[in-house]
Amino acid sequence: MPEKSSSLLLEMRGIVKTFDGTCAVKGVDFSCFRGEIHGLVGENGAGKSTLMKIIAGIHSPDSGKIFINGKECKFAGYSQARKAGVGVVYQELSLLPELTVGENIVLGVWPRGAGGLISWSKIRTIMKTVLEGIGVEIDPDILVSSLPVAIRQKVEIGKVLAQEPELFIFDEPTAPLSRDEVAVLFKILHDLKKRGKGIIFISHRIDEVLLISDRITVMKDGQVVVTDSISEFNYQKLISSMIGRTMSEIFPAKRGVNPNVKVLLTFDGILRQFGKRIAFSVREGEVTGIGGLQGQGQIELCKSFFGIGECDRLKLLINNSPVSNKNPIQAMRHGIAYIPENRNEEGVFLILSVLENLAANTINRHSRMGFIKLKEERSVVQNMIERLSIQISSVHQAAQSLSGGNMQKLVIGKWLIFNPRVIVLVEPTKGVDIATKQQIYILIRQLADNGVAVIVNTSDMLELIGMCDRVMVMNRGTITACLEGEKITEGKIMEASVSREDILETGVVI
Amino acid sequence: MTEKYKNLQLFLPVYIIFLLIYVVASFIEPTFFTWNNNVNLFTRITPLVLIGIAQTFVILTGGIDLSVGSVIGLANVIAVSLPFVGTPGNVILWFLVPTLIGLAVGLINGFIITRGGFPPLIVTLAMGVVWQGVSLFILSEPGGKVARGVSLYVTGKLFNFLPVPLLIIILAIVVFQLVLRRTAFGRSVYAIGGNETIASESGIPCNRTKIWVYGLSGFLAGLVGLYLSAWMSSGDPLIGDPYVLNSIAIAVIGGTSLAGGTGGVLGILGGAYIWQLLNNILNLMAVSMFYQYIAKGLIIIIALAATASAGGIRIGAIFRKFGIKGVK
Amino acid sequence: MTLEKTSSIKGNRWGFVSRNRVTFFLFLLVIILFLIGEIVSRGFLGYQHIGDILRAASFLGIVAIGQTLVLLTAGIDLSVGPLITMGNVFICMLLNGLDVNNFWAFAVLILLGLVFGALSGLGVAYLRISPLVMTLAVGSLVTGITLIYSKGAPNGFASPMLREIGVGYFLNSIPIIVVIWIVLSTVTIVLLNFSVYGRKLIHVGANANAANLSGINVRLVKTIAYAVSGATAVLAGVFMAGYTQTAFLGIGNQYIMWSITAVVIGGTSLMGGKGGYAGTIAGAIILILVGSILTLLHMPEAGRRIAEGLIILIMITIYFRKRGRN
Repeated sequence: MPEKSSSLLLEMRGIVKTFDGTCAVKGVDFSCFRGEIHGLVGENGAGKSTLMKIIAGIHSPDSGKIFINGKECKFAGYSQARKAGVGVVYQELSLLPELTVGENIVLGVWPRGAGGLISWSKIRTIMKTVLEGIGVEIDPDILVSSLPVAIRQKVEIGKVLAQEPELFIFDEPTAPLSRDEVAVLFKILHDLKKRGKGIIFISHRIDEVLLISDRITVMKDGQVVVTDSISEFNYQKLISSMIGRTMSEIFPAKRGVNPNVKVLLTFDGILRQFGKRIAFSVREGEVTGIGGLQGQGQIELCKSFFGIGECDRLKLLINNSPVSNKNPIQAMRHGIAYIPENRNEEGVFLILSVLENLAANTINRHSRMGFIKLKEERSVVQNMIERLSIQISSVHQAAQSLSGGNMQKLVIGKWLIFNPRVIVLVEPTKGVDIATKQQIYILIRQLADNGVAVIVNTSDMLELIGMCDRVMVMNRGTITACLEGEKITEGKIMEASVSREDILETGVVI
Repeated sequence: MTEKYKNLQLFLPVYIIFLLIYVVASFIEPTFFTWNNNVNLFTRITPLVLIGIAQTFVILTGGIDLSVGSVIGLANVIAVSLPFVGTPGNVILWFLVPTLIGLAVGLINGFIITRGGFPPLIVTLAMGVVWQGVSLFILSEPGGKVARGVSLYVTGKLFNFLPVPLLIIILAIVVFQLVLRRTAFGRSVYAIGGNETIASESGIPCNRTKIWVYGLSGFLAGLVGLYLSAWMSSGDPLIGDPYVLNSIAIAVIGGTSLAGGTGGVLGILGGAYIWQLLNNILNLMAVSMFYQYIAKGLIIIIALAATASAGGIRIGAIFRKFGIKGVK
Repeated sequence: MTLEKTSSIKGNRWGFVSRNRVTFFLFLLVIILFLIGEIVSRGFLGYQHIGDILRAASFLGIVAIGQTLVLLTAGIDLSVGPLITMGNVFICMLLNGLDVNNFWAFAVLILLGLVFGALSGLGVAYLRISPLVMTLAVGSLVTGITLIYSKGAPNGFASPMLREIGVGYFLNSIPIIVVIWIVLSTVTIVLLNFSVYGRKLIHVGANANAANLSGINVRLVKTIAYAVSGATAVLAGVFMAGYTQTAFLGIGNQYIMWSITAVVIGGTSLMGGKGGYAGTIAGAIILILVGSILTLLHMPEAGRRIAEGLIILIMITIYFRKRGRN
């Protein structure tokens, strides 16, 4: 129940924001009261992040107004939003690992003592007040780089608290947290609420949103679908407002699981970070998903397929013959493809042309005696552009001029040209518009149907449930559950995400 | 781990190596250990320390200053080309003009880098050439004059035993360590080198800080040019050229990472000492001076290779048990 | 559910011109500068003089071949200066004025260039040392070796054949060294634009991480670039000996700055991935022309230095300003 010191803290009216021709936010009204926890949900690409970045001053709206405490505000950057009382706790924490906890908390607002020098005693005082307020004690001289994620998040919260904002925005705060740690976080949120702060809580975990929020807003395709108090919502209603269609309308039909089908691929190794054995296999025609809380080794696992992960005693079998994949070149020789999470840093060559991007993996293939067969390359690339409906005006245009969705198509397209036997995708629909997302789902299903071993790591619950025939849930570097068919539900996935038992030890057959 | 242990981890190796070299050298060449030799060393190390500090500040912000050599040369020729030689006015000018011009030059560098958004490497490389040209205009060949008493600043001794150069070294390191650890400016330098986006979003004035960092570099280069004019009693437009490589080497050996964000000035003394010892040892052993080029080249490569591959096996393995201490 | 097909993308006849418009403008600038030179001093456009200009540009252009490759990988080679000097000094001492050892001396020196270049490349690619520091360090090594070998006072002469390359003319009209430059330029441009290595090079420069994840052997590509840079630098030094007849310590020093300037003028991005050698050719000629014109205007050495520094700043402002602003 919102505490009725009911001043309206934040009001946004008619916000519109367009990027490069795609309209990310189409006329949104949004508000938040003091003493209220306002949950914000929606699929990837629904516009939540953009809306929050507008409140935080990182983007300015093309039209519409923002009011804080009744005063109209126009922010030219996060610093200004902060001064107006907005504080954001990001999913990717904004801490400097090489500085101490204390320094991170007072970053930019250094408290001074005698002679203008920074006063460590004042830092300690600030830290005490701020961190005690959230029930945490940390030595201020510890370097952030030596802290685990859950503690770092508390430092981040402390950093935001030190600015004494009125409005808090939490962007996916529970993604790396276990249920226990989530409970601690929720206690912090309740405390803040009692102190009359306004809180906006963005999350993909529907159960949690239903637990903590006073009101919920659902966004879809850049618009607000519904804003209502918690009593009006239940799980089903929330999901259906979010996706607005049934699962079968978004995701192509699943193949289903058939134990008699041949095994394409077996992975057996020990992730160095966790030291436990992890082993599983992928069968023909099945889309295999990897889920679980963030940071439990999923990405290391995916990287290990491609030779860039830290994995010991790895035995990889493709079609029953062992394969060596100590580096990307070797992995590619055996037909393994890898689609990384960070498109801009690892997947796309921003300043190079569309043509060069799509041809990147197959330079040797379309060459003769050290020279490129330009015509052949051009036609292969052209075909892929058509097949994926990549919107470009010329093959020579620079990749960075493309939208996020089209850039992702470049990454997927170059691997399709490569024609892999195994494809590992990490968060393939991150930062991608809805239409492209659907195309990607179709492609993934097509690949599986054509006998390619498909492994997808995604933190999007809906994708795991809607797209995968089998879901391997990981916790602490090993598989805790292998769910198939009807058993793939949010509840079972979450339960397995924190389970201490691993499949190898309890003897479940893989 | 805490900040103190991290500092130790960064700077201890330098001093260990330095001590090793010192001991070995004393065995090879007994005259090494004499007071005179050491005073000689201090005199030569001072410019290295000052310019090493300058480069450290710049590298900490994630940049580099390749113009230090030319700015030293510029300050140097200005110092020896001032009017009214022999009057106290000249000495005052001698102090102020080269250092202020060094500061101005550095600020210009910083301005171009921040306003234009260009890579510091190219800007400082290009500006270095420009300032070298200006130096050649002022003095096309070695020459010039300094006031007579001025060389005391280099060879003199305070209270008859503390050599001025040693005083300068100690003062510089103490002052600048304080700046780096206890002032907002110093902490901002580390923040910018760590992650400029985060730093700027936390309200740190990144552009302004960077401009002043390059200004400081120019100022210290000016001081070095000044010092050299007192030491040599004459000027040379190209006198600063070796200091570009020297300053980078000393900063890196002293524990500062070229990527920015970590390091500091505590290791500079050790780094400068090691650097100079090389020359000193070769001299005393009557080895051809040419070998110093090879030695220096190899040392830089080895030092950097060591830090690169030691990434995983840090000396801080012993410190790991201090990891999450302190959290309740 | 199926995917829709879109219509194919047609090529643009003017695409080639518009994509390379910078290079076209640069060559236009070359012509303009030649004309300015004629205005400043009659006889500038004389056959002999154009030959002299192009000869000077050839030495620079050959060094800039390697520098272009290295800059395309988002690196930099500051060891070209000492390597040029090494080539210059060693060839004179090895040949000692005789034609006898031409082949072997050339071969040894090119090998030396490849070796030291590869050393830089290995440090950059495998040890992840910053190119700035690595090439400075290798440069220092090379300087030491050159000084020790020549004992600080280089002796010897260029052989008659080398001398002919340095000052002689092909068919009595074009300086031989210019012809050599044309041949090397053609090879370079063909390799950069049409070969597998050339394509991989720009991927490495544009995004080394993504290149690694695309199956490109990033470390090998970079090492080769630096090795070639070492070889072209030494080669230029060797040819310069043909022109000067005897060796000079420090002859290569200015070429560090000049080679980088030529590449930057030519439009290659300092961040790698974008650019090519055609522009560098124009850049080298432009640099020599500007120097020549300034000399004719009686500007002293100091002024020319200042101009060199300013030229780079102006060029990066014109080319790369917007990137910084983003």
